[in-house]
This record gives sequence, C-alpha cells and structure tokens, in this order.
Amino acid sequence: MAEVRVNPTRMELKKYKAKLQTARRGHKLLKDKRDELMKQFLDTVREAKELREGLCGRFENVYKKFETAAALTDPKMMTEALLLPGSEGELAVSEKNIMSVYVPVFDYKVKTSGDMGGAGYGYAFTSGSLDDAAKAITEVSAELVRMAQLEKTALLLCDEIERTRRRVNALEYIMIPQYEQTVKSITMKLDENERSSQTRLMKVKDMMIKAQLQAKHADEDEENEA
Amino acid sequence: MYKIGVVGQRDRVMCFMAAGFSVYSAENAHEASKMLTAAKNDGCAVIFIVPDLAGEIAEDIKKYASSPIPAVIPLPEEGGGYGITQLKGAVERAVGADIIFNQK
Repeated sequence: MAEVRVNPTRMELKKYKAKLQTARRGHKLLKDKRDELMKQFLDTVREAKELREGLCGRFENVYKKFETAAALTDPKMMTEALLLPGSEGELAVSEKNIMSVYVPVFDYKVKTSGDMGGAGYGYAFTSGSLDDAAKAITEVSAELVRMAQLEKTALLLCDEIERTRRRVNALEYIMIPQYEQTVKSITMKLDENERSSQTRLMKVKDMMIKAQLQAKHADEDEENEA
Repeated sequence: MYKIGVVGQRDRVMCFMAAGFSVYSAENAHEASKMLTAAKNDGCAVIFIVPDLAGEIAEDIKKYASSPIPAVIPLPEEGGGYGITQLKGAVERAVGADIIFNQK
C-alpha cells in the first residue's frame, strides 16, 4: 500500500488520526446501510418474482380471451368498443424513502364507469367473449401496477447497493489502510527524531562530565606538585 | 393524476384499452423507442412494454432507470421473458451471484 507523502510533524499526525477515525466511522455506517439495503432488496425481489410468475399464467389466459373476442368481432367494432374503456384506474404516485433511496409508491384504484354493468360499449355488435376479456384484464391491472412498483423499487435499490458497496470497499481496502500506514510512518519518524535528540543530549552530557573531570584532575595534579 | 401507458404491437396491447391504460402501438424497436418517449411526455408514471421490444430498446429504458418515475416494466410473459432477465441481472449486480432465480 503506497503511503501518502507528508511532513512528519505532530500537526500532520493529528490530522491523519482524525481522518482515520472518520473513515472508520463512515465505513461502519456504510456497511450497515449496505446490509439493510440488501435485506430490503432481497425481500422486494422475492415478492416481485412471485407476483410476476403468478401473472404470467393469468396473462396468457387474458390474451387467449382477447384473441377469441377479436376473432368473433369485427375489427372496427372492436376498436370502437375499446375506445371508451369500461373501467378506469386512478393512479396516484407518492415517494417513499428507503435508506435515502427514493422509490415510487403507486396507489391504483380501479373504478368501473358506464351504466351497462361496467362495459363502456353497446352489446349489440360485440361478442360476449369481449366482456369476459375486458373483465379479466381489469382484474389483473391492479396486480400489474403492484408488480411495476416492486420491480422499480428493486431496480433502484440495486443501483444504490452497487454504489454503496463500491464505497465500502474503497474505504475498507484503500482509504483506511492508507491512513493507517501514514499514521504509522509519521509516528515512527517522530519517535526516531526523539530518540536521536535524546542520544545527542546524553552524548553532550557525557562530554561535559568528561571535561569537568579532566579539569578537576588537572587542578589536583597542580596542587600535588606544589 | 398519472396515466399508465402500454407500448407494443397493436394486436398485443389493444386489450389494455379495456382497463383504461393508454396504448402506444409500435411495431419495431425504432417506433417503440419513440413511443416510450411519447408516453413519458404524456405523463405516464408506469409504462409497460412487451418483452421482445423491451429487450431491443434496453438502452432507451436505461435512461429512466435512475428516476422513480416513469417505471418502465416489461409485461409478464410465459417462460419468463425480458422481465425476469432484468430482475435476474439486478440480483446478480447487487448480490454478486444469482441466489433467487436459480433455486429450482
């Protein structure tokens, strides 16, 4: 791990220690965020999968009914009949915040309009299978919207998980080791400086004591001679 | 109040008119891409798209991936289709391995 080149001073040491602490705290928070996002994501995907698989079979049924209706009804009459829908849905959209990811919440209410039992067309020129088909599709529409909500949520969460994981890894494997290394190298350099100055002081002290001793010996010799 | 749009071949999506969805008919990928934009501009919060066309215009769909609406969702299809592929891809990207769709 390449360490950052910095001046080995106490000031820098303090700065890098603070950075390291922030990085560690950020890493822990992001890791928790990632875990929670993952939990939410997996729950959503499981539900979406079940819903989609359930709808697959029912949709084939709806298509079949419509094909029958289309075969029995004049295409022009069919289009005309469908222009005015027998039922209408009201879709309200709000947003929900899951771990700072904004996901849509679709509130869909089906309401049947028309005064002829829910169909918006006259029965004279259309076949009975069209009524069946229209009813079938209205029944699945609410579930379809719910599936859309779940899948959109899953896709949005997936992007956020990817981003968060990248940040967690960057902190864990790049930033934190780099700061640790820098702090370590500064500490070592400072310790080294301290040791060298201490040694120097000891050396100077030794020299001074030696000089004093020599001076003392010289004085004693002079006295003896006299 | 938002609308719900359906993009696809006319024969396949006409039935959604009965449920009150806005239908945008498109026969090929080029038209589908145009209709997708049209549906978005019309104020559709949910846009369903037939799976085969969705696979062809995946790049256009990605443009709307980061915003909550519109939600561009492939219609369910027998045997999975593009919808399942999309979810599977999401699980692989998020988890690193597909742990949901291969448990059979």
